[in-house]
Amino acid sequence: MQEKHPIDELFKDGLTDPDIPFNEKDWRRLSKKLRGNRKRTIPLWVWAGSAAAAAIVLAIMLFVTNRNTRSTIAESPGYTQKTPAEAPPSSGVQRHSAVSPGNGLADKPAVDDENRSKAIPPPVGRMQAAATDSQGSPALSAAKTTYALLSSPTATASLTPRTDSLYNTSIIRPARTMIGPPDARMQQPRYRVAGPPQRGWAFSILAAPDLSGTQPLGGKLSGNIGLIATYRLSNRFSISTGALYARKRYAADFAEYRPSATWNNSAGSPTLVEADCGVLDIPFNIGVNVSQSAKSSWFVSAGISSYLMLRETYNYSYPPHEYGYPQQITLHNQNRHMLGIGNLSVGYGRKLTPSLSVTVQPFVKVPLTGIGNGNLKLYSSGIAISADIDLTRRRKP
Amino acid sequence: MPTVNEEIVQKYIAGCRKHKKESQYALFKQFYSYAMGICRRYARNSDEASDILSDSFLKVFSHIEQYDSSKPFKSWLGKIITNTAIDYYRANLKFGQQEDVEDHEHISDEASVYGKLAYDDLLALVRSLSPAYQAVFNLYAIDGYSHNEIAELLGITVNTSKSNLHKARKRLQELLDETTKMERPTIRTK
Repeated sequence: MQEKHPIDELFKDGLTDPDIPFNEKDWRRLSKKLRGNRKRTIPLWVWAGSAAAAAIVLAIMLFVTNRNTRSTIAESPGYTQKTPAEAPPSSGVQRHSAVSPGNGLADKPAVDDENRSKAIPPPVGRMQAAATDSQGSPALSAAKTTYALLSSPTATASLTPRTDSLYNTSIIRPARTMIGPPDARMQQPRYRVAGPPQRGWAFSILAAPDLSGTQPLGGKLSGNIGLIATYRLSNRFSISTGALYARKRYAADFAEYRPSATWNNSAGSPTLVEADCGVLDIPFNIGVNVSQSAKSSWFVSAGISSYLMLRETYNYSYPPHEYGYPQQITLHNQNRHMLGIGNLSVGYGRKLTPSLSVTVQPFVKVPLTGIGNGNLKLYSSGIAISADIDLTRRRKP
Repeated sequence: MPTVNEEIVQKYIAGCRKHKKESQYALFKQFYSYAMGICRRYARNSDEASDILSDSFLKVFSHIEQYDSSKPFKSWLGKIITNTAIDYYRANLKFGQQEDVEDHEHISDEASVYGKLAYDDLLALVRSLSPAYQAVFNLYAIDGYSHNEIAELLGITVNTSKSNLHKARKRLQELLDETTKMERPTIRTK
């Protein structure tokens, strides 16, 4: 039980529940903060809806990719096919395919028209290519062989049906693999017409040193590292997303620092704010190939990122002889900037193997909203270097 | 202060849960006087009081889902305001305001009765205390926190809390004496 001191009693009686007239100014001040807060707070249902939508899109993409990949591998020339002797005797569904003679590829044409007609009706107007690669290694040799096949002027000179018992349940589809220089493809009009766009997944491991600051193309040395998943929609377009851990180090004049909670003037005004933040960057970009050859490609990419501020540390520097003011604050998981950053980049990719390439990608990240506790306009400019693994090509039946 | 109709308050709160602006405004207006009263006691000036008030209600509206409707809203609001005010206190005060326990056993319980002192006068006296004294006095004498709770809230020792309270009382007594020097009626309370 607390003692009842007369001074306490006097002030408690006099200061408790005063009658203070309502002041609209205070409501306006609160309204302003509420508006700012609303921009920064994403309701739970938006998170849940976005996650569900993303899951559905990914599921559809994976489903489509899976089907395409199976078809592509099954129909790729260069795939080492089992001979009928190796196939289970009961295999009834036959694969409709074609090979090109004259390019050194093994070719064992065989037709089982009876089975084929029972199991799967041959697609009208569709031609398929398949070939065995005498070097083995179906996944890696597929692209090479395809390239050789498509580069050959005689590639489509003869399209002979053959059977293949590997995919008992596979549906006959047109060949989808279209690798090779544009001129080579131009020589293969039947392939070009019959083959739908090349689709598939690629995963990239990425490291990207950058400069972060309140001005573009400048600032303190920072960095990003993470994983990116890319889905090719066609030979020209792709979409990508992923997760990058970014360390953002930057400095700003206090005039540029606009914290959501009003800075208390009695706490003094720093001259400089130095930040060191850990950020989860979730990008969503669209890439467009502007130039492509067999071994390399140039592309541009644009998109938008969300920053989840995992940790924010701000160091305040004051004028000389000012002491006793806040020197540093650290926040954890306080700020989220959904779709708050614009991404722009150009890139050059170079194939090392059919399934592995390296990409160098200068980029700039442009703030679309205030970032972090100080609502700063935070730019990042740097060069991303990534190793890209084409999963479609590596995929095995 | 008019009696708060809990039913109406709950209606406002239900609207706030749906982020209705008019409900937020109504709730803000309903508790404005009570809330601002707390803010003014802890703030160094009226501008800071308005900041504490708006930050407090920002927290209220942002965390309205956490409010337990079975308990009085006023208590919940008061707690949020106090915590927000302490955040400001921490930002204001980094050193020099807290003092260790000194010999204060000789402090008498003599106090003056200044019943006629207006609210503004009392507020000015509290604000004239150093931030550390002001915070401890508000928390202990008016808001009913224990020294243990104050020590935890402010990051000080229990003894420092006691010392600061003692000195705050002493200082207030001096100020009261100065304020009403000419016509001070005094009584011995114990």
